[in-house]
Amino acid sequence: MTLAALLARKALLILTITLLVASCSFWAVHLLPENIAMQIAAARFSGTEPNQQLAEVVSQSYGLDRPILVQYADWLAGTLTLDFGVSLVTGRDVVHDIAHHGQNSLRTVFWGFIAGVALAIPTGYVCARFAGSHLDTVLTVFSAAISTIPSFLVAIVMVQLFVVELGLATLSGTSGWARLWVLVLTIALSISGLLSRVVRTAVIDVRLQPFMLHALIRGVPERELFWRHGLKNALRPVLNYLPVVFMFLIYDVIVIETVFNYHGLGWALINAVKALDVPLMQGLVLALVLFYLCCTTLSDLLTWRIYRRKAS
Amino acid sequence: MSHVSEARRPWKLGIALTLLFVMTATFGPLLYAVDPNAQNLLSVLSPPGAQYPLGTDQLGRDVLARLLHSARYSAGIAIAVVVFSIALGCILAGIAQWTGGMISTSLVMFSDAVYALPGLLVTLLLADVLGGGAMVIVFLLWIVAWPEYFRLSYSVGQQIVNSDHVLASRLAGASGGTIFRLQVLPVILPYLLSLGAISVGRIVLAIATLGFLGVGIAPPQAEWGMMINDLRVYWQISPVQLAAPVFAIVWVVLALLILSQSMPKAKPGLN
Amino acid sequence: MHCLEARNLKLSAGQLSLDVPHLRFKQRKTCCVVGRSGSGKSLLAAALSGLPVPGMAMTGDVCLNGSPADGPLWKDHVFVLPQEPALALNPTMPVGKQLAEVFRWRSDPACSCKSPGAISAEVGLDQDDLKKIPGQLSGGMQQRIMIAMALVARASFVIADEPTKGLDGGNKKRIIDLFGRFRTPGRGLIVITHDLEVASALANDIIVLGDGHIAEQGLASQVLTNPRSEATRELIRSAPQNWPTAAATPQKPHCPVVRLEDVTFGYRRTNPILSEATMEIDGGEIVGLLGPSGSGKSTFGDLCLALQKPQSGTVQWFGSDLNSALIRKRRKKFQKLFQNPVTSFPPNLVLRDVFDKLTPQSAGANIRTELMSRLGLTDDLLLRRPDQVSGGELQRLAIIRVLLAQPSFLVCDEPSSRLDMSIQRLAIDVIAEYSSQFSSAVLLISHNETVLRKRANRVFEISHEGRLSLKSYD
Repeated sequence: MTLAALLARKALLILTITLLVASCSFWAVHLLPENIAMQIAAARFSGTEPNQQLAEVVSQSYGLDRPILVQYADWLAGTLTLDFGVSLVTGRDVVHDIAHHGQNSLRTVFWGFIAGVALAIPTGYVCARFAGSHLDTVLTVFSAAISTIPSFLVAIVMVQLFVVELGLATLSGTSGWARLWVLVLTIALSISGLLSRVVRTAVIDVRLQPFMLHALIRGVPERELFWRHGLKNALRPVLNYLPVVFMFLIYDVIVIETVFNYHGLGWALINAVKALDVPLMQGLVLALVLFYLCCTTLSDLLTWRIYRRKAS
Repeated sequence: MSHVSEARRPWKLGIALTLLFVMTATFGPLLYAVDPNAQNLLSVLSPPGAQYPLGTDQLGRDVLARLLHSARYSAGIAIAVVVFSIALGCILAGIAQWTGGMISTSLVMFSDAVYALPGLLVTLLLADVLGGGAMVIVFLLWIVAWPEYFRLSYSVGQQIVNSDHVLASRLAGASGGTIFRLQVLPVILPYLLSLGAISVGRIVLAIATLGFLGVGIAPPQAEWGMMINDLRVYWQISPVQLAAPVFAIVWVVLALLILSQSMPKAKPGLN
Repeated sequence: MHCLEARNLKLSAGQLSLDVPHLRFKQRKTCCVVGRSGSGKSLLAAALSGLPVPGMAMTGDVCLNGSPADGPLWKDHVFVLPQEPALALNPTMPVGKQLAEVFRWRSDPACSCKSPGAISAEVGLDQDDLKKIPGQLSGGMQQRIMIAMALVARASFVIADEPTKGLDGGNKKRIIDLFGRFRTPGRGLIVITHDLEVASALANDIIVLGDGHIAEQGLASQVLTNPRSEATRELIRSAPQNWPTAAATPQKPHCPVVRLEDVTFGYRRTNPILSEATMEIDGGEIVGLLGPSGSGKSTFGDLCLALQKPQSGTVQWFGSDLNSALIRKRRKKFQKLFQNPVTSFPPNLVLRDVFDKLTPQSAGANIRTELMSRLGLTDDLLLRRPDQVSGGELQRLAIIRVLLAQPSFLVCDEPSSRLDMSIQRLAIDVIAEYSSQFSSAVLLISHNETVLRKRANRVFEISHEGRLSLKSYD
């Protein structure tokens, strides 16, 4: 595949998904039996009983009395120009909220990913080199367990252990490393479980390949064998697996931020969902989806760069 | 080609654990017929005893009853989602296989797009907007779960349909129905069932996550994740009550783990 | 001068076993080990080189210069050319770089070629080929890279395991020529093969393996012209060049079963793999189709069977143009015998089900029994699944399945080219007999010219450009 084709394909995918999410949220809201204006009114002025009069005010101020297809087109156009409207709860621009919370999330996700990879690759490699040993068994059971247990349980245990029992971190206040390291560690643990399995399998598989043996026949010294012939081939399944890791990252952002009460995109999303703040919800979900898609695109580009073949 | 009948024994253990969970979910609430939502504010957070085998929660509700009803709720949703997804995935794969050309290409692209969507986000986005409740959860999980079955049955189906032995049967004049019954279905079915079994586990865990986040599941409903969230502040007073839903989740995790480590591998046509 | 010896070797792996009381290989000699598949040839190669084979048990000694070897020989004294070059090359590294590894770590000081470029020119590859990864090279080119490695590697012996497997005639000849060079640097060459053509072209000595033992050994000229063991005679009989020539077809009225006129076909519009092909096949006639691998021979067969639609031109069955009604009506009379008998049976079904439910019943069950007994098969085979039956038996069952349809036209796509010559011959002979008996037309596809010369009435050849031409052998 050429680079242009790859990029075009990815762009098409991103466009399709953006429109899918926007359509989903639009029609879900508009096909409801209850009046959307009533809901918005209820959500916005929670406390006072929503009534018809209030609903009409809301309806007019949000343009909800126009024909539905016009609203739909308007909604899609707004989404594509990254204009998600204003939050129904705070009245702030949704983009502003995304940028604000996104910064926080990006920090934990980035370091969590780096730490997770840094944890998974040596673990997987050691497991593969000593496959079948006690060390391998222990690490396998541990990583398999930690990757299958829902991350909210892992997060609760981490809070209990490091914050409540040992007092090594705080749950509020600063956004410095005193607080962040537990979050990063939790994210790293939750992604490294699966990733280390993949690394282990990839390394074992590649070491069993006939071309490794034949490289030895060609005289390649054993200590150089893996780095020369194994690495590039073992990396491929790991790179192919990255989208799954990114998906886990997105889930972790939501769950772990909620448990740690950390003000990032996930935390904001859960609050927006509870307040039925539709524009903010849609904006946050799209931000997370686009972040995920950008990550997978990057990993695809990396794969393409490493394994590209000249058109023959 | 690998034969599923030669699968290793852990596979059966995983199936057994999953089945046991489904059985508990089906018959548990019948055998232990206590209202899971009946509050007894006089015995809040009481330890396990004769009246309450697993104690009560912060509102004085029977934890065992809630545990069993939660199992039923999760298992019901999970099985419904898996059955619907297998049906939709296979039908669409059949259509794609049969028609080919533009329809097939666009179906594959559409399923790829849905597959590339983090499923939990869609559920979070729409669950409460659509009013929550079991049917909404089933619907939402269904619309994000079917591409997996579509991809599996499409890629395995593609391999079989393009194989020499199907061509040989076609040349020999066997009808499409006979070929499907004898050569396609027996090969695809084990893959679908083992993926389905894994999905049941995954969906149960996803529901627990939703319950924990408090999205899409209305409060009186008993749900493991929600129980954990409610009880985790009382972990020192009522460790048994908190441990019960955790243990239930670990059970599902274990079943899932054993299954997924030993399930017959299909060769998915990624990209 | 080194010599390699096997003393009291007993090898076994799975159902294979081999007993070798004593064998001796010398430098500067080429020794071919021949035998049917399943005779344990590859076990001997593994034992001599010391390469690990999963599940192989070995007793006895492999000696270098009279004393048991300390450590595996493949590291220093023996260079191994494995059966599948595609698997032995790193798929992500340019082949030139892999060739350079031999120069860096295992080069032979006596070799006159001092750089990868020079040696690759020797084996007929150019500089651009060296920058490619193995997936971009053809099977023959991959094998030549392996031979280049063997030429420069420091070793007293080179063991080649089935070096011509899956190669077409042209590539095979090239590989045989290249092997001739191993004698110049004074190495011993041990070639494992089932192909007597290769053996007679290369060997000084021949070792014939029967089932699990050495049937015969001696000078090539003696063994091949004056065989003493039944195993050798069987091998010689089944080599295509020794097949008895088919009796000339009696002149029959001209009635083409299949007729192609100016047929052009390509998977992409721009480069057709077949252009303006015209061919007629009469009833009772066997037409051979020859061509290098990848030249669209199988596609041509599919066009004749109406499994592919031509881009332009017409295909006729029994003199009328193809349409869907005609195809539906005649479908069962136009059959195909697949290259690999294993893939032509559904792996999940018992063979009886295949014959009862997925095979035309027009011929009747008694014909099946008759065919089976004529091909030496018993009924209880039908109770097994395809993977529980040997390749030869499965090939015969595949033939029976095809013949039960009583086809008027049959495409044989390199029948069992990956199996033994004896099975190949059996397959082709049964079909030839059927063809003359029921005057049905046969298209025999092969890359082995000798087979086609012996069995086909006419031979066509497809070139790389997709041109079809009639070959004449006068």
